[in-house]
Amino acid sequence: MNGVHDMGGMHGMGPIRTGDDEPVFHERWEARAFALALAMAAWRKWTLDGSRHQRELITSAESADELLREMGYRAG
Amino acid sequence: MRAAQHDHSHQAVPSDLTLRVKALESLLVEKGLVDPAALDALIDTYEHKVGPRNGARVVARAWVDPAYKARLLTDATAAIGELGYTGTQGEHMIVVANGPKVHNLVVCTLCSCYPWPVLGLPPVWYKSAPYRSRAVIDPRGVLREFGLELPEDVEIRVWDSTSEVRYLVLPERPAGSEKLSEEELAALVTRNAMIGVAKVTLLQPGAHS
Repeated sequence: MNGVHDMGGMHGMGPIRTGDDEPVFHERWEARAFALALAMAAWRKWTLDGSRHQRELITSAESADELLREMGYRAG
Repeated sequence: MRAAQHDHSHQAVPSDLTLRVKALESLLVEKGLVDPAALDALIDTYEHKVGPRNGARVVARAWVDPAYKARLLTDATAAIGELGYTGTQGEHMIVVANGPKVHNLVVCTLCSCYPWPVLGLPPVWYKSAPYRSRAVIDPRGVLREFGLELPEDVEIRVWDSTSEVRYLVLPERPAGSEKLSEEELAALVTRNAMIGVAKVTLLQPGAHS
C-alpha cells in the first residue's frame, strides 16, 4: 500500500501549514459527524479494522483536503 | 494551487456534507440509536474539557516528581490515568522523553492517530499530507519549518503512531524554571512541544495551543 493512507516518505506534498490558532471543530457538520461516529461506536457494530477498511475505500485520487473532510464522516 | 484547492473545498463540500450529516443524524435518532443531547455532550467534552492542558499537567508533574516521571516512562497509560486522563485513543500510551542529545517527534503516516485524552483532537497540519509524508524522511527540515533548529549532534527519533499505540513527547524542562510551581510549569507546555515540533521555553508562547 502506498498512497493517501500510507504517506510516510512520499514526495511533493508541499509546505506544512503550521498555523496554530484553530478551533477544535472547523464547521458544525464536523462536530456532529465526530459525535455521531463516537456515539455509534458504542453499539459495537464495527471494529477498528472495519473502520480502517472504510477509510481506505476513499481513493488516493481524492485530494488530501477532501480526504480530511470526509474522514470524520465515513470512518469516524 | 494548494490555496485554490483549499478554497474550492470550503465552498463546494460543506453544504453537501452538512446535509448528509444532518440526514444521517436524523435517521439514527429516528431509529433510537443516538440521543441528540448525548451528541451535544460529546461535542462539549472535546471542545472544552479534553485538550492539551491535560497533557501539560502530565508533563509538569513529571518535571517536579521524579517517581511519577519514572512511572510515566515505564507505564504511561497507568501514570496518565493517575491524573484522570483515560479513554478513547489513549488506551495504549507511550511517553518518550527529550534530552540534551535526543529529540522525539510524533507523526501518524497512515492517518491521524493522536492521543486524545492528553492532547484533544489533532490540528489540521498534523493530519495533512505534507506533515505525514515528510516527518519520517526529513524530520530536521520539518522541525525547521516549525521554527525549531536543532544542532546536528542531536538525534531525532520519529515515532509513527500505528494501530492502537499513541505517543506523547515529554519535553525538556526549560533552564531557569527551577522556582516555578507545578501549575506555572504546566502553563508553559504547549501542544506542539508534546508532539515534538517545538521546545518548551520560559516565555509564554503568543499562540497558546
